[in-house]
Amino acid sequence: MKRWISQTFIVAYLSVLMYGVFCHTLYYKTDQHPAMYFIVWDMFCGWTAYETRTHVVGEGVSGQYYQLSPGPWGTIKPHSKLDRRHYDSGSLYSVDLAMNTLRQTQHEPMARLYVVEEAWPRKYNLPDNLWAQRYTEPKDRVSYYQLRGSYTPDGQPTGQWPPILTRLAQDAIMANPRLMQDMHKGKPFYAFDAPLNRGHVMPVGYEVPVQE
Amino acid sequence: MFHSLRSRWNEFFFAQEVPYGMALTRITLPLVLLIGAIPRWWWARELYSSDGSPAPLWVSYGSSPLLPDLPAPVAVAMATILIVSLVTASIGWMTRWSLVVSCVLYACLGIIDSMSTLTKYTVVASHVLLLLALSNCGAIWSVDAWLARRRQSQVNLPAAPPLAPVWPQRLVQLFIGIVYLGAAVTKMHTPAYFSGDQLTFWMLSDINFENPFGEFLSMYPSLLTIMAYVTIIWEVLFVFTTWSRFWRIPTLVIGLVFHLMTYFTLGLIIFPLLYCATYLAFLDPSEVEWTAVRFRRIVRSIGLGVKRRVPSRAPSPAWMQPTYAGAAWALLLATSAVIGVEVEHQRDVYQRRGENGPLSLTAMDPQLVKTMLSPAQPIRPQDMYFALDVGTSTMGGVLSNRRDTFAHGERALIQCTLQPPHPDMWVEVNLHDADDALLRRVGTVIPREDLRASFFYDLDGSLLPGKYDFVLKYDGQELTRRSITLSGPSPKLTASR
Repeated sequence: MKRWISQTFIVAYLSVLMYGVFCHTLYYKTDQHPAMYFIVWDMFCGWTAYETRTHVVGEGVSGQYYQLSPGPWGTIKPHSKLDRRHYDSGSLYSVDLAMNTLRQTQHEPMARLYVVEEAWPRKYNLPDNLWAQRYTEPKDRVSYYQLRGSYTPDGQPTGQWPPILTRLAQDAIMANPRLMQDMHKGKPFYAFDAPLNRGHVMPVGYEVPVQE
Repeated sequence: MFHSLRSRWNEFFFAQEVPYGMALTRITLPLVLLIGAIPRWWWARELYSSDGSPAPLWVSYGSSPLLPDLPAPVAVAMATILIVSLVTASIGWMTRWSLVVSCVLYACLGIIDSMSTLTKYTVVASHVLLLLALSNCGAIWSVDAWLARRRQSQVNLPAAPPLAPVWPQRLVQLFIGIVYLGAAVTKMHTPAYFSGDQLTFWMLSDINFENPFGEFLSMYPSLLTIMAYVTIIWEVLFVFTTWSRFWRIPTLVIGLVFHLMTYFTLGLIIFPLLYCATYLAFLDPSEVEWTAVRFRRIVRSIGLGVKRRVPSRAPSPAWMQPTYAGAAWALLLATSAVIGVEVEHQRDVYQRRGENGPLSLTAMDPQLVKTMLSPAQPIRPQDMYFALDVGTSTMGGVLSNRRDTFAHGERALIQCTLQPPHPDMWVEVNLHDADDALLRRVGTVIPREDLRASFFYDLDGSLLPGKYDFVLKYDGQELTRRSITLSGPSPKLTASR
């Protein structure tokens, strides 16, 4: 009996692991359920040439701006010297960080909350001695900012925008006049897929289902 | 045929061995996990409770909640119990239950905070904790084993090490191999992995700990290309070669080196340590015994040997009975949870109850915020290129030798690497002389999907010995230049400007 249970577990466990590899290989239902995170091994799957940071800003009714993350009590630095907020690459949770800071502090009433992404090319992360070996020009880092979301004081989104790198990729495509012309043929307008916040250009046929 | 397969299956999964490897993993893995768990306890209210800002995994999957919102005391108690259970698992006290509790809490807290707690290493750790819980890893080198020996009052000689079915250990080994297989698939999905670009930019990232060696290696992309191929071949083969008598040791050694290198090149700490701990499950009992014998000899030879005590025949006290040991363990967990909740309450993480509480918000520089909120700025041309390198040969599609001195008759290869995403670009690499006069002009289109373009210049007799510059231009603007020296005797025929 005990061996039978062990054998069943062995087969089931290995089957689940192999299912994860299968799904990952063929991009099959990998985002179907959170449990997939436990069987899909996509470590270091993405990469970018830009270093990004997240800023969570509150605008008081007086016009003064406040830092809403980290809170004034500090924060954990989970994987390096960076605050927790910088690991919210999808800007999914940044407004929750802001709401918690507002709950736990005294402050004037807020007019608007913002989540802003900052980016700069990673080549500027090279230390000065290595920079001097590879580049002839002086190190002149400039940060680019992109508004990712604006929210009401109670955290309701009033606008959401794609990450800066998605915008750059889109700009590269949209700069093609022929493509733009083709896209506009027979289509009255285009809507950006704001609810999914992926920055995809969606045709007009894309509609949010209406519940009756 | 069927009998042969069945016999092989049974031999592979149900052979009886002393669980040395699993015991070593049990001792070391929880200690590694404590490196991450202890600092997070300090912020448990903020990370995991409804009185903070948890970041549940299910939000990013758009699915319904898997767990309820946790009140702060419950979250803190869970974080406290996790730490205590990891310690008791490591010392092997109520080993199986300690591992079960650790596994459940570790996974739950990770799911609740997917932003700063859940990573792939926490997932790997959860799998291994589960498999350890199913094994007999507490049968040796543990408090449980010590208590069991004390209870065996009739024994006055050291008992033979206990044997156990090897299947949990085999599953850990297969699990690691399958994880590598998945990681190899990820790399196959990433074309930039094979050109070394992905590694280059990861090594330049600052989102992990300091990685000065990685920053240095990013200067040598052809080396990264070789490393990329070696890694993926090793990852694919691991699950097959680790059973081979000949390849087993090289496979494991490469794995250890690979994981240790991730500390130096990527700034990872817990991930490589976790894998080192898990690799202990690959040890055969004979190897552990062989090492133990040599270790004891060395210890004795330097005069540090300790005489082994013969177990006494005295009956074990009542508190050593399994029921009492279990009750004491449960009491420890409960007491720790209560103390943890109280300490965390007194700590007042948000400083709401102090003299100056609640705290005031930190004001930001209005000028900086104005910059942040103003319309997005276009990318400067100098930020569109990543590197301009001059050499003579390539490996894996990237320049393999950077040079600044050439002789007549050589062909200079100039490689321009761009920062993605970039638009379709017309890029020129022009040859200028020492007086900055334009001698030759070569341009090409780099489509948005390409990361680099190569230009060739034949350094023939039309050029006088001396200094020259390769100038990278985009949109009519000079982005950067690289100087070279053309050495050697002057050719008979030289071209004027």
